[in-house]
Amino acid sequence: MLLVLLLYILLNSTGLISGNYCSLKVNGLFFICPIGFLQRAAINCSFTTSLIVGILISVVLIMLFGRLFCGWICPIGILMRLLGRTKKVKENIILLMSFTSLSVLLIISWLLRYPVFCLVCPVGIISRLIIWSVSGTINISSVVIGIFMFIIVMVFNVTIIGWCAGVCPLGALQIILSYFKVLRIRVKENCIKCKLCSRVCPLGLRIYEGKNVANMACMTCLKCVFSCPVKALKLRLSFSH
Amino acid sequence: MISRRDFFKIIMGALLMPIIGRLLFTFPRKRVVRPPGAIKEDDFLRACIRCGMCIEACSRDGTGTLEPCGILDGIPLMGTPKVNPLKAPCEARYGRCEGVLPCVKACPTSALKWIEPDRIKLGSVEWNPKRCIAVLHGDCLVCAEVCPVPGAITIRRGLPVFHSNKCIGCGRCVNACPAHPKALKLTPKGERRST
Repeated sequence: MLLVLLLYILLNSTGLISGNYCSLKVNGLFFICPIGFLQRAAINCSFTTSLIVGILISVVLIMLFGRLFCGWICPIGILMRLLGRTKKVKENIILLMSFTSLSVLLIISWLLRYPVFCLVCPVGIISRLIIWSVSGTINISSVVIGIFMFIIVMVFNVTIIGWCAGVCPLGALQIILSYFKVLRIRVKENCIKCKLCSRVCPLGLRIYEGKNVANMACMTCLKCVFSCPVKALKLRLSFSH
Repeated sequence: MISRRDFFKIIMGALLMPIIGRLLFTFPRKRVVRPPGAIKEDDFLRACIRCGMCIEACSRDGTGTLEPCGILDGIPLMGTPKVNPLKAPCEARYGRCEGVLPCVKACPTSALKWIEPDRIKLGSVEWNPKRCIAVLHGDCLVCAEVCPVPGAITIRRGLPVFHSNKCIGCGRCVNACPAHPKALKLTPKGERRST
């Protein structure tokens, strides 16, 4: 995340890119948050045509590389990695949860005609806080809201279900889209089934079984790869499930 | 495969964000001065995804007048842009942003739409004579000096007279007012939104 932030500052000072996680402008081309785009489409029942190219590029990137955003760029995802002390659930529930949260969000934002999630999205709020504190335009109320949302997410994490395990609609969309992804964690034959990978995984995925469902929800945080005692896990590029 | 406890978890998780959003939406809200080219208020709240691109563009290429709304402006407005003339005036007309409008160009969801410079009207100015130095001591016409619009502030017997039909709501007079609690206030009254 620090690396990403440094890269951002470097590119921003040259004037090539501007914006934050919600929408990024690279040389005149907008890359908008897919959830914001979907909510806007659900509210107005129409698309903003100037955004389609950026959305298509980001969707293709997600389909190829999966949840790299969640594991390496998103501030909440980084905190999940560092904490690692969340309620863990089964993979089927993660998948079902992501479908439910996405559909409920879209239906409710269509009924209310209001982008509900953007108001409370902790990813957007906290990333905006970070980027504004870098650029020096920060005010007290956004800090208060950021801390409030952070506390809500952390309480939620410890008591009911992990935030990144499908509750966050942004992660849910990425879980669903990464069905065909290329960047997968492979289990070799010398696995001794010690289940250490499952214990260090921030989502509690059963990586040692090598199923597709676990790979779909994987954030590619590589904690399991580094913790494996017999080096049986490898990050590979492969199309097959 | 899925126990009752897991089902409860799924429902709780899926409903959390919409319920918080619905609760926040019912809170009271204030009318604030929007940046130039904003569409009508209800449509604006629907279209704006609170990404803060306009605020960033304003502080980089513009005057730095835009800031995000806070809790005190009403929770549904949180994160949307507003013009704060105490920081800087909006120079969308008669200034550095005329015909450029960096905030409008930065908006990805067209909540801010392009508007011709002569149609820009962000609101109007309210005058509080009890605080005005021209009333209390005399010899202060800073507001009339900085006003770029011909005929928006006229002088009659040493006092400024504000014509809200000609005012474009740029906030230069509010920014320049030397009275300590400012004698002038920028309100969205009479604003002209783009369609």
